[in-house]
Amino acid sequence: MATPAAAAAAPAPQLEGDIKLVSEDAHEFVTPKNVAAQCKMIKTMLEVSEEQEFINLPNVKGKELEKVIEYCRYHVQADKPDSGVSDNDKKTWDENFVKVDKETLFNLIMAANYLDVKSLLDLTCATVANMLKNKTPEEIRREFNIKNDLTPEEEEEIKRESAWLYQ
Amino acid sequence: MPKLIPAGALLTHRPLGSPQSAVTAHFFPPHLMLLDLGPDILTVICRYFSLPDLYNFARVCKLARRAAFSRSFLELSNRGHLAHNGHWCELLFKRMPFISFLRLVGPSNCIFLHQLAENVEVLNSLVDLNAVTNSVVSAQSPYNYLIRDILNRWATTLRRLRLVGLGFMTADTLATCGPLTHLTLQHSLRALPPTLPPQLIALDISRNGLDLSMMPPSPTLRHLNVSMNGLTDGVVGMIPNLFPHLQSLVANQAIMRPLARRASGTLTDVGLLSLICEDSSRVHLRLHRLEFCNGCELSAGALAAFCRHHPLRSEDWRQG
Repeated sequence: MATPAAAAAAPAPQLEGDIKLVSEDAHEFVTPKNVAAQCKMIKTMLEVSEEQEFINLPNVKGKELEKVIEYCRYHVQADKPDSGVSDNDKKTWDENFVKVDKETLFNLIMAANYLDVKSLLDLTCATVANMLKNKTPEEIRREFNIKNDLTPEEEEEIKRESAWLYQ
Repeated sequence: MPKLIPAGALLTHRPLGSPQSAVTAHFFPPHLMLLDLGPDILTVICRYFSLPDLYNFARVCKLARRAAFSRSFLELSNRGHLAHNGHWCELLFKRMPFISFLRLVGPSNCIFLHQLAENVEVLNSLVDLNAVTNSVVSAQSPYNYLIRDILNRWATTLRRLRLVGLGFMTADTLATCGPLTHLTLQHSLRALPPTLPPQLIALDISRNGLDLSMMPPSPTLRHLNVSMNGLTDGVVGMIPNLFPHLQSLVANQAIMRPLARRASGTLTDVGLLSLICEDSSRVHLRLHRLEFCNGCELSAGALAAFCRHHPLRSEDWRQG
């Protein structure tokens, strides 16, 4: 489909200089503002007060914040029209970026959601979805240590309703 | 100005058990599990499932079932074979009655749409429909006739629906079917004038030699993707009349030349106009009416970059 959002977007204010981002576990990252502003939540804060020198992010740990910054830094550069980075290169980079252990991946999802980085949220959620695809409910429960709290009747009902998919 | 330090290079550690850590631990457990992501994020994850995957996930536990069946957005992508099942609509919407935004991608999903159009009750829950996207229209395909039939139904029974998008795409069929495809598509689009949904917001017509003059006027159309080759000078001049409230125009290089030539004329009425070039490497244009952006030869890529950051307003066009 057409991409109306790109056309309708207002000119973004130029963000210059750096901002110190402080994670929940007190890790500090001095980051260019234009990179940090890829996180909509931070962008909003920067727009409210351009003078602030640091931003506390009490819901993100240092390990994940570092990854989020790495993601934003890469895409700020790679998404420039004259970057010379092809879509395939970006896709490969993204795929490698999310090759992390499950706990880090889940934490990244939470961080992307909290910081409001939609593309990263989509990327990480799609990665988890891929981990769940083509698995039986039992396999999913085993892999993710989930207790089945559905009653046999509830499970049977879902099975019955989806039976047509397998005809 | 603080010295730029790469992420990770400047780490300072706060002692464990600091008040800040303690507060956060209340929100997120130390070792996140899948279900700790919560229903909202699980719902986002469910967007990437096929229906069999979705139903499998729903059988995992109560929270998974809630996430699987509560999404308000449903995208069906290239799963058209499911649409051939007569129970599709009824079962899908019985289980997911709160779907308000439906996006259909893939040719066979036209058949699903056909069934949808026959079941007006199902559509009561739908607010937005972004449909028939990438419908492959070829000489051998029955889908173009289905589209026309569906549009006829929309015209009479589905006027209340906010139709977000409607797309046609010949894709690779053009190479194999050539003129036949073109003719078939034109034949389909000729059916549009009396049936074009009145609330259509976006239209996407890609990769074919379509003549835009066949399009009916659409006072509601805001976004138009005409990445195609057949847009002539004369047709470009018709844009303001056909689509008086057009806000964005996505076009490839083929449309750039006539647009550039006519930039000082009728296009001043188009309003917010964004030109995004799909193939920026081969074309260099002299844009006489864009002196405000350096007034020199501008590559299509540079123009695209410019437009992304500085959406053009009608005043800008008049400056030239």
